[in-house]
Amino acid sequence: MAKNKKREVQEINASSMADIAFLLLVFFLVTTTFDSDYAIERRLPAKIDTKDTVSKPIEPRNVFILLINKRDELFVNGERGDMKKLKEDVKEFIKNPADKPNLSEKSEKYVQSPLLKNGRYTKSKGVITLQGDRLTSYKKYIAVQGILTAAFEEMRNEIAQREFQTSYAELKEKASKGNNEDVKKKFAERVDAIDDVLPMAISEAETRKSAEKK
Amino acid sequence: MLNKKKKKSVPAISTASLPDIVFMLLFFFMVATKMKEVTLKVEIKRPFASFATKLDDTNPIKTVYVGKPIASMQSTYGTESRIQINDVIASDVSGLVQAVEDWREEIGDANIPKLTVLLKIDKNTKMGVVNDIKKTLRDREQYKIAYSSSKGDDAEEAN
Repeated sequence: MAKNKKREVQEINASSMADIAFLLLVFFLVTTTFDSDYAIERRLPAKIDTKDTVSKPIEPRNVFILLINKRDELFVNGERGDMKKLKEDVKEFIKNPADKPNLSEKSEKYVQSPLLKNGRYTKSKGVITLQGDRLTSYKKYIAVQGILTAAFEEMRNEIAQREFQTSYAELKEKASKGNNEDVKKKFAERVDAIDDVLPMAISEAETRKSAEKK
Repeated sequence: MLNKKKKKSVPAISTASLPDIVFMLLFFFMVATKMKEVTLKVEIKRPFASFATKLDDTNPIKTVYVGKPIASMQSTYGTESRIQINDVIASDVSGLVQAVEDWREEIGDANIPKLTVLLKIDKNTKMGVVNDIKKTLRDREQYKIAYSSSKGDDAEEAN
């Protein structure tokens, strides 16, 4: 025993530690996918169960008809549309800054919320309908959906900047993340106020049957 | 001067800190790794959208996959676009009805209105299938949906 004490404990060779760590590292490197889940969120229209509720016909000026045919060509109100111009067209249609008679009508109803300090906001009556064909490709459909979302996001952002001096995205972020429930609620209310002034009025109409489909 | 240096032997670089560096990298990847929850049996290339947001993952999300079956599955399922729910390829869109019921049971009554169905659909899919899915979800009163997409412009499309 006494003999043992005199002997120094041998150091463990740690040079293989790096190898082990490398092995693990390589495993995680290979399995990692930086799969950030980006998505376009939508709400499907509610089911109409009773047929006797007569829905008021929408004025033609309030509808912005987008159609993608089976050859992935875009038509805006019946004419060939340009993807690059689409965003500005949508924004102009909804906002109608010059009160043009062929663009969307503004509702007389004012949105008044204690949160909005600029007071009265006119709501647009405009609705965008997006129709596709059964043979339309999904990528074209999503590209158009992306542009529509971008247009609405920009318009909402303008309101957010004016009312709360911050971006709409930041309000949304603060409404969903954080530990303080009260703070989250406060931001959620602001988001709701903006959504109320500018609802995402996109109607995803049923796709039409193509003649090619048998 | 040169001669003097040559005579001195270069001291070996200590590799003692190598494990530390490697461990640091290791921890980074361990934290950043998200394990796949299902094995994909269909091939999915996400479509591109100029604007897309990150999904709020505090709410329950369930995913429906649509795409052409992968090579090893093509003998049984063919090459047409198919719908994958959880780990199986559904025979047709009606399989979604049961899936929605299962998901609702799993997440509990209180969370049903918060459930988002994420549609991970291959970009070359035809809208017909997508529309059938949307119609089925709407019939089941599952209104919250999201289209999975990549942010940016499609490089292939630009040409």
